[in-house]
Amino acid sequence: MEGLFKNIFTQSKCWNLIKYFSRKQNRIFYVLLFISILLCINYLVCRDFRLNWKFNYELKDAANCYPEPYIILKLSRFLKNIFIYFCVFINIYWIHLRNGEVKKESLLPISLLDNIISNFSIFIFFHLLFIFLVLLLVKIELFTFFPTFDWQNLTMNEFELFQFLIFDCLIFALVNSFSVLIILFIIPNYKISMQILLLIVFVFSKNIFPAENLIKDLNKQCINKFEK
Amino acid sequence: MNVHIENFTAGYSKQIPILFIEELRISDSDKVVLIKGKNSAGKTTCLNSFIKALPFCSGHIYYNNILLNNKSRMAILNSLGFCLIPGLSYGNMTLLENLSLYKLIYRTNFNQFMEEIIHQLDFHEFINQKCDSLSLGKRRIADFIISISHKPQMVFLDEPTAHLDKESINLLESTIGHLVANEEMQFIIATNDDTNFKSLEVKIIQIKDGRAF
Repeated sequence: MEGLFKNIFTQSKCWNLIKYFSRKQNRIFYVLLFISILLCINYLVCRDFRLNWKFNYELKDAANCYPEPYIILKLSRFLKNIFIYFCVFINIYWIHLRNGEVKKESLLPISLLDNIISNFSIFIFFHLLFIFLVLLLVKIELFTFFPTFDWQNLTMNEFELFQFLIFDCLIFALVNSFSVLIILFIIPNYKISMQILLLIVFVFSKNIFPAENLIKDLNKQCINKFEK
Repeated sequence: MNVHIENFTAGYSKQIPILFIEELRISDSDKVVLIKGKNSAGKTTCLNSFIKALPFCSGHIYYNNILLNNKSRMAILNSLGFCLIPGLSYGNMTLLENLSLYKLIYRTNFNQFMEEIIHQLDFHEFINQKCDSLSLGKRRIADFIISISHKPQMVFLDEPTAHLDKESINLLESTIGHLVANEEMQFIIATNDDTNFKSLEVKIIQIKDGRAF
């Protein structure tokens, strides 16, 4: 039975398309490089922020508030910004890349459904990998940079925070993947596709970026040191 | 394989059609068909027209009396092979890896046949090299091998002898002759080189002033 399942899986056209698409992306190296640079920038920003958070906090006229909501606010803003960069980068990269394959694929017996499933699977995989890396980074930062972080000074605990962020990230991954796929298969002209996608990212889908609602919520929070 | 094209117009923009075929018939017995014409006459466009792989096409194409449309396209493509420019090989894979991929896409398994063809084309020492690292001539041969890997009934070749030396052209010609005789494949070849394929019995389609006849 296991052999049969393995056979069906390895003989499946979708699986083989996924394998070849992934194989072809040796430029994945550049994606990883891009992520690494972002992580380095983030490390430097957070290190600086850790040393000066009191100063930053007081600039916001909230000296009496506990720092925890502000720390999470900062991390959430970083998370949102990193996803904006990721979204612009991956969408343009993927449309550009697929544009080169259209002619070749028109000569092969690959159905539209096979093509859509393979593209969607790879695209969602990129998103999930990125989400995993970024959330891991957020968690590491919370532990290493802010060892005295007290969850009681927040309106949510650690589990709730990460549950919230993961849910946000998954919604983002699905919406972005579907948008790119629909545009990729409906609009044959890739310059127009890119313009529409950028418009969607900057104008219409602002609210789908992860941590957007958290930022709105945290902006209103100030658990006062004296009231507690 | 019988092909019948009628009232066919094709082009890269709707306003400017660059090829018109009033009527064209290729029968089972036309084993090698040469599409001839000057540079920019529309030979490659004509090859692409056979499967409507152009932005703008109108007209009817029948393969064995089956109309080429979205419904029949997959089945028809399964029995056709292509060695156009660029070819089907993926540069960061070796020929063997490319063949494994296409074996799965076409759901075929002709290992012995492929070994014979590779041997015939004297390509053994290149099968484990990444296609990007092959010379232009060798890459064309790799593309040719991929195009016939699923034993198609009809193969479309666009300038197959480009970048090839005399020895390789002879090998290619004899391989095509062998495939025509033993595997009953048909070849539609776009070329402007009159010196090649003389050893084969050919039908000629001439392209002039945007018309194929």
